[in-house]
Amino acid sequence: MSAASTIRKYLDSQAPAMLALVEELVRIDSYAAVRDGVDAVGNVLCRELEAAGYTTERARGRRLPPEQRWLEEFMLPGLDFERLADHRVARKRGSGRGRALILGDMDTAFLPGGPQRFPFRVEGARAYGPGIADMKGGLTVGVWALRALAATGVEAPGETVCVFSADEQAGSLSARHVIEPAARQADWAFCLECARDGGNLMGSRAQIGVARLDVEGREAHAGSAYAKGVNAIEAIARKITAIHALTDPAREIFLNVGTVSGGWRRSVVPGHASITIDIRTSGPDTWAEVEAALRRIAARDDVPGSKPSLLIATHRPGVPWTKHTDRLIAIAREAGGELGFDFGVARSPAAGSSAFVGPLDVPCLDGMGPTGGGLMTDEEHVVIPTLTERAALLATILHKLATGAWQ
Amino acid sequence: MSVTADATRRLRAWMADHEREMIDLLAEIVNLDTSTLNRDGVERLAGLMSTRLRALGFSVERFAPTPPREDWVNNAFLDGRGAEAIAPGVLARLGGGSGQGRLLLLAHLDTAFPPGEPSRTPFRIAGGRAYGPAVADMKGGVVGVLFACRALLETGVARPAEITVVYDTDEQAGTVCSRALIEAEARRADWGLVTESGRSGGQVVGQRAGLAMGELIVEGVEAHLGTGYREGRSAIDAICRKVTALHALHDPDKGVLLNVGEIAGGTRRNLFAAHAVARMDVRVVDATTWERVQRQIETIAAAEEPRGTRATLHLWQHRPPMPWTAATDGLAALVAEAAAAMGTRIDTIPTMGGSDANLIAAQGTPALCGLGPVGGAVMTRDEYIELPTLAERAALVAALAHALSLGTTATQTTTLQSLR
Repeated sequence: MSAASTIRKYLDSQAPAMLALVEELVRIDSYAAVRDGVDAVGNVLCRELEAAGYTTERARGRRLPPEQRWLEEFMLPGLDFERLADHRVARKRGSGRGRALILGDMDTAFLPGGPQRFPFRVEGARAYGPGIADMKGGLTVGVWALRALAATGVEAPGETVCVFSADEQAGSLSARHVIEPAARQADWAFCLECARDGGNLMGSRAQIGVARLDVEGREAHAGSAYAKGVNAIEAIARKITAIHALTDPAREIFLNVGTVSGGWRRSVVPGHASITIDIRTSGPDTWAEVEAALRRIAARDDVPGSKPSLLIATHRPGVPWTKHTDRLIAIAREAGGELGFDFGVARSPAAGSSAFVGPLDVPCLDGMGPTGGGLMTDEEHVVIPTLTERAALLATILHKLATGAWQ
Repeated sequence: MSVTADATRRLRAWMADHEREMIDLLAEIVNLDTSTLNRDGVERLAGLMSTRLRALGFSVERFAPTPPREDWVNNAFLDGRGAEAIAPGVLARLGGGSGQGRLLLLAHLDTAFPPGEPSRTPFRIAGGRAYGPAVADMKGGVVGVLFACRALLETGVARPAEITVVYDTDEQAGTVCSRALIEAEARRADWGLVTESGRSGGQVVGQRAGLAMGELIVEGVEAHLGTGYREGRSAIDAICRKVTALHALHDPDKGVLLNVGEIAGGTRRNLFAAHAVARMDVRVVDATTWERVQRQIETIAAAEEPRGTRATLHLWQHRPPMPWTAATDGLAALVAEAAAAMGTRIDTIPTMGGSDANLIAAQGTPALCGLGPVGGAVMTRDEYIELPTLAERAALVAALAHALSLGTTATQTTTLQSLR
């Protein structure tokens, strides 16, 4: 029997246990600010991996330097980064070649109380619940892929390291400092985000960032002193129009002014206005271009006397699609072929934990999790049979890499 | 020397004797937080002023605020809290005057500041000015009305047969809840005097702009930036284009002031905003201009740009323009004469501000505004009045009341054209 068949057969027999693990994880409230919940997810993951012979440890990220602290407040307002749960790292040696890095996220986008409002449920072939696709289904896939390698005894890479982040939904500002050192030691990386559009993997991910633009004007009564005022809302309105004009789908450049606020009284010329901007670009070159354009727009003297201040940061450098990506895809397709299924590979205009391996030139596939949808809504779900399929796919890819497929 | 000049000087002298008391009361009430929706604070001031008026012999009632006529008005002016958020106003009457006619004296007790401002920037005096939140708009005028009445009574000069004092409590919220009462009192009165602060150059106000409040609500199509950029339509994008178009209507030379003073929209930076709202203040010099500007604003609101966004416009001219009339000429001349008798000069001018005087004038009742102390920087932390004008303007109000009660018209030929 081939390794792929052995792995598949084992995982098919564990399907109820996999669904039980998904349920256990989904029922834990693990919004990033809910420290105990994220910690409980970490405990479950470590318990599962220790059973497969992994050693586990806790890891702390670092705070951003003071000049970038605004980004922390921006990503998760009100969250004290000192109170984030620990990230978790699990590792195990194997007899095969190379070093693999598996990336997963323990926190979800659902505000505290998500599992009470939207409890786990199974309907037909789908399982529903907060964070089930993003990414507790993926965590289950990752854990069981590694358990399958251990249980079947097929050859695994020389080292497999898992990094489970506690703050992915808050921009991975802390986890980045754990992911990057691990990635430097890795030959390949796999990230457990759910599969897109009916099963696609993700071969590249966008470089994304955020900006906050404030404009100071000068307050004055809108009747008696209008001419003394400097209208910050007018200034920012003109900038918003210019910022949106930078969006260029053909070049994978997307900008969105997602929030705006300004002024406090209709009869006072507003002295302040502020926007937040989401920025997605195809890579470092387009990022640099967009950043320069934003700085020009911010500095433009739309309304004489107004003073802009722009904060901009790219917190996810992105994953480019390289020739290494093509090689890894070819190996994944081969593994899929042996398991009896095919999949597409997409370019993703979003980004996650895998973002940090791109600049280190570590070949990476994302979207290794189950097929899912309805992210961040009360329809969030995964397709149950894809839990075992994806675990088998990941395990088979790791086995192939361990046995020389990369060479 | 005319009879009124003599009375004017007596009133001015009485006021000078009571200046210390005026300043003390002003300090006390500036430090009371009477932000419009701070009902308890406004209630304390209304209670205080009621007591003072009763002590002068006025019969004092409290009038219940009338609920706003529409939901959006409630939301835009009263934070959706309805008439319950507004303290009852003060309606005080004193009959028995030996002169003619009925005079309405009007001032508002509420302020435009956010709650808590007096504790941050309390009343203080420096360099001949008094500073503090709403010291000009219009606690100085609140004091002025009270002391003008007291001066008339204590000097014993002729006064109108009936004096009505209205202290309303929601002027900064567009007088939404006191409007009906003020209109009724305006119809009852022969003249209305409003003690909003005098212009920073010392003038009183004979003509006021029409004031409208507008609220523009734009609906977009919410979608995630990463996955739904084809479907997404940003309400923020749409409203910004409208804001720019609206501000292009601003044209002081043609008597149009337009200020978008508030904007809010969106919930998350990575979603196309489903919703955005902007609020504006629109001032026009006259009714004809209003008709034109109103149409232009409606056209801007209706523009579907980007496609797939939709806007709802609420627009209400809550203060109709107060035009300069023949009666204004007469009142301006009386002001000039009284000022001359007090040894100063006070001109009457038009402004682009609005006040409760607009509501009085709209009932066809001759009205003057800006009769409070001279001040400026209103609604800022530097709001001030010129302290010597506190007593001077209260004396002016009393002198006008006296002169009107005699049926006096100006004896002096004032160069009216120069006043406009």
